[in-house]
Amino acid sequence: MSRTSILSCEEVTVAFDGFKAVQGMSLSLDPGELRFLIGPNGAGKTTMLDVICGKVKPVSGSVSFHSRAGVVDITKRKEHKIAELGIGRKFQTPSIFAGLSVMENLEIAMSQNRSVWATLRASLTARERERIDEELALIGLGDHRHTRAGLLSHGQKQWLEIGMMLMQEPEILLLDEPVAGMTDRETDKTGELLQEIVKRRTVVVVEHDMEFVRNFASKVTVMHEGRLLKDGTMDEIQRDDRVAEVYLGKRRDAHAVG
Amino acid sequence: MNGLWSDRKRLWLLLAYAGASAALFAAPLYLSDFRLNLLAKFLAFAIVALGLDLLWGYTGVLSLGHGVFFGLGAYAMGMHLKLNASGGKLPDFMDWSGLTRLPWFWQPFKSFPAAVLLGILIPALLALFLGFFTFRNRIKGVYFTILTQALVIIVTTLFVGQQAYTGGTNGLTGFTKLLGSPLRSDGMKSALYLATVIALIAAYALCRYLTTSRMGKVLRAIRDGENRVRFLGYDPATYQMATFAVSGALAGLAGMLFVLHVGIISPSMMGIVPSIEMILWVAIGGTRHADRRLDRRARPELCEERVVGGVPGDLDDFPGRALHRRDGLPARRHRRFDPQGSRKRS
Repeated sequence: MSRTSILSCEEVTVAFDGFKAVQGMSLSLDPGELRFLIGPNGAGKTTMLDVICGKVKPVSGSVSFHSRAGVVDITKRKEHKIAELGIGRKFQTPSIFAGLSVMENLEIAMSQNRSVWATLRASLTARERERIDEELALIGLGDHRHTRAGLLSHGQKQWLEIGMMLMQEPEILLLDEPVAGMTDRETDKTGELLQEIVKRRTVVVVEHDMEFVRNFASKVTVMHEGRLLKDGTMDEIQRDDRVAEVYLGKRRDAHAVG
Repeated sequence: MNGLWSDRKRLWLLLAYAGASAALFAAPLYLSDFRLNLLAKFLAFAIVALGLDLLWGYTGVLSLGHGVFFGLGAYAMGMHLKLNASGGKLPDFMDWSGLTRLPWFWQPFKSFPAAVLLGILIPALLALFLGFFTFRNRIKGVYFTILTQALVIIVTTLFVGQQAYTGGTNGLTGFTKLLGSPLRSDGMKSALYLATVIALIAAYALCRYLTTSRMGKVLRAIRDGENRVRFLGYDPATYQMATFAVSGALAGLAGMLFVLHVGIISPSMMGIVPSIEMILWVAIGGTRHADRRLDRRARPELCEERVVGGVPGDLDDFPGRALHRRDGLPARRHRRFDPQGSRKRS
């Protein structure tokens, strides 16, 4: 376990009723890194994110988070505690609160004291309003602040959710297929947003869209059948025979690594 | 949604509220004693409905056990009134059952302030206790609802079975006076009516405050996506527990007022049927646009409904009300019934 990493997963194994979704996977993140997690369907990418954010508890292995507050063993904490420690998670399908307005979504996502009593007495301060305005500008939803979130387009919902994650001010951001179902223009815009986000925090992205991954010259981790297949830059990954085989053998969209 | 429009809307809303409140406060001037008493009872029910709306409409948690919280509040006040009526002696039913001394848990109810406090606290704590074991273990939806029904059966069975301590099936009745004045006097009736109006307005203000606060937004968020709220760093269980407790406390308050107006409380008034009826009031009043106009509807409509539907059945007692109401219900009301209210939340 290196000292400099912000998150290190060691030999993580996850089993669902005997089926091993992840087997002895190790992953270590440096602070400020943008890491892509790729692999064919069922490789265990999403499960890995589930482990990091506490949704799934591994059968064995350790996950330690070197937060500002010290080293924390993630596997022993509840989801809401992990979120509070500074690990934010965006799910595959946009999960925003449809009944609240865009602004209200951001308001409750904001990092703050999250006890019942505190939220009961909280009112929106000028500073908080400013913070929300900044975020609205960043995700490009300034004109929709009073729109009910359920009425937004798919792309806008994804951005809102990314905005909500940022309001949490997490140290590590876990994004599960942020551009799935987006048009090309929306994808580009999401890419820009991601560039902006990476400047300030560590980000892990699970992605199928290779074109999108290629635009970021960053580190890529390939998973296959619950195991680590290859770590490296996009160039190294593309030249790797095993990676090509996994994709060519299992998926029709072989251009993915082409 | 522009500012001017919402300002004007707000003004009308405020005027409507003021008008409704004035009409309620002035009711002793234009209603007969009988109708005033009936209205007072309906207003007490409206308080239960408010609390249920808060729980069901905002967090999506359906409780079919509010009869218990209502009943516990009612018994708290009933015990105080019974002790008043016995004038220092052992209440009659205890005597018949062979008790010689007042049980320890009856002692605090000698004092009126203590009885009022306990009538709110006991239901709130029971709700908190039940919520602690259910919400924290992520028992939700139908399973939670079934548990609340089980609670009803347990509590009513307990009350019926412990005749020496609770008055059994007959419940508590034969009350005479409150704070030294006879309950039947006109002055007392008007005072109790006004107390109910004030309690209702206070309960409404409380619910309004809760739902418009940031906490209210978190509650709606929990209804939309409990898991997502968890990953934002909130603990939904504590929010649900708090709401359940407030809802239980309001039902307790309503129960106390009910006893003062009706003069009797028995286990049948806190059983399964009344518990389900309470949910019907809310469903008919409409919870669909809980986020926007739930309270606004709950109050005037439920009251109105009681007046329209309840009066024809002069001596309608608790369990019989649903039938009376269906007879007396204008068609308009049927249309308003909105199955969306029970919509399953994702």
